[in-house]
Amino acid sequence: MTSFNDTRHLWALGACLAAVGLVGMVVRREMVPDDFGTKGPYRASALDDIAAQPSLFQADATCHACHASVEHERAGKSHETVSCAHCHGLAVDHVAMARRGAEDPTVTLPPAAEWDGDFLTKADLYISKDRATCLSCHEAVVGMPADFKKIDVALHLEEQGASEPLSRETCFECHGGHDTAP
Amino acid sequence: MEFHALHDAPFIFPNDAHPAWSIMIVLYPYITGMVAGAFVVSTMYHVFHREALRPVAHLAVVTSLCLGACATLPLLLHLHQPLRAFNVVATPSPTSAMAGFGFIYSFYMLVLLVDVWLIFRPAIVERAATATGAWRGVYRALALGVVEITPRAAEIDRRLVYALSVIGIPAACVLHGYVGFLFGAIKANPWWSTSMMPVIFLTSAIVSGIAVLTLLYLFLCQRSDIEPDAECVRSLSRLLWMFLLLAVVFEAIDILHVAYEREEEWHVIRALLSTKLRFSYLTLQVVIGSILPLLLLPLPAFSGRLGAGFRHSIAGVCAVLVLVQVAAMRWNVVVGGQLFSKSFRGFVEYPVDWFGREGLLAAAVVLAMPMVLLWGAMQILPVWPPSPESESGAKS
Repeated sequence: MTSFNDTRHLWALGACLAAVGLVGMVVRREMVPDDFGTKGPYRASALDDIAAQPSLFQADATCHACHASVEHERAGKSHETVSCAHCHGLAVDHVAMARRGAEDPTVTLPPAAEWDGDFLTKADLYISKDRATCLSCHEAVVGMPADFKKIDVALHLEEQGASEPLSRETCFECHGGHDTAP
Repeated sequence: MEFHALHDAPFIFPNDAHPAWSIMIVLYPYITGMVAGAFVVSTMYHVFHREALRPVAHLAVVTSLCLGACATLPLLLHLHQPLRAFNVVATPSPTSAMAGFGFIYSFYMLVLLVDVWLIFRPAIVERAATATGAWRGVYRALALGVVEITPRAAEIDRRLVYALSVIGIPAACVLHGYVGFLFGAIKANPWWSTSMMPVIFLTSAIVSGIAVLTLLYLFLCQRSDIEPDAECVRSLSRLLWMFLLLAVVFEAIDILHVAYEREEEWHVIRALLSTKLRFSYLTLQVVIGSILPLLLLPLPAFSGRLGAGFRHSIAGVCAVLVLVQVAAMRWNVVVGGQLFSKSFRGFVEYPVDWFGREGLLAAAVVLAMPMVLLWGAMQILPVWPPSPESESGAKS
């Protein structure tokens, strides 16, 4: 026959575990945001928080507002749909400064830097004539659409008779950035 | 060469440029594996009545608890923000593979904690009666205020230890199988995405648990000037050999399957294994950590002619090699899987630092922490040396 004395330690253990479990449940209730899970396995209000963040990406129209000649140069050409940011950076500071400059003539815009070769660069505005930028789209890879302009670099440079095939800027011997026609 | 296309035209997606999971994420499954493995060894005695493992039965369960207490430490260091590491345990969620960890880890640690408490309750109660000063209070608190054991209570405890050990086996399997599932379920990464991953993780976990116990047992015997129990070492070696064989076979099946299918990811995996992971996979994991101990372990496991000292030395060496194998396997999975871009056309580097929160020094401290805890546990509980009285009290 089992008496209370035989199971007293288990009751004590049960009480301790229940207390820990209760604390755990309270902590969980306090820590899980109220709107977690209402739209999916995430905090629903995170969507509003993210939407409220300032946009870093400039539409090409913003650039064209000042650089109309570039818009004209690209019109109807292969690179018309390539985003300015791809070769020139996000230009957040540049655009903000340009807008201030439109009202305050004393504001002068610093010139664009040379691309530092890093695709994750933190530079605000840069100019890239580096072949790496061109090849990030145009190097032939299995599975590319048949009509996409893709090249085998060594073969292409040989065929076209590039004078400085090892130069980083060798693409610009024949092509432009905005109007790419050779 | 087949790899020319890969090397000549590398392309790395911007979000693949830096391996995000560091050496701490290597340590996490390494330590969790030992938790599960050590517990499985203890159940060999408590559930399957392998008498030969009696000397390590209590050591195994306490080692498992100490390792488990430190299992989340690498996550804490990796996440940089302490509340994030705490969140995964405090806010478990059944809908998230990551946050499901809260349920699994908490349940397993609960089972382990109660198991250890019940196993050592006779010793705790005895010390609560004989200890003096502050220690008396400590032991009374550990006994939860109940400082007597009736024969019927001892009988109930024995049955509970048996039941908890039985429950603990699937819990330990789920704990480590889950860690493998986390990697296996990442479908974008062909080096991880395989349903074999939980099985591979689980078998290598058991292997690492047996290896760490073999080493601990031999080390403690040496330190306490006790002759290691020949049958215990033999039994551990047999288990180690058997589970290592299973682990190696599962790992080999997985890689052979990918190699034979030669799907689009094979060219990058082949390049990964023959370049970036050449040393850690081929040399460490396969040759030094798998083939060598598989050839050597039959000596302490099955040979009856060799001297005990020689057999125990070989068992110790094999345990070290196997721990190297499992560490290399964790490294190759966790870091290796991040060394190639999801473009399958470019490799990145994982720079290993000595210092810093996720450096080698911090990793060594994390690995040492469970041993420090074990030393602490040995000061307050009769974990070592194994005493016949306390052992018989816990076995059903």
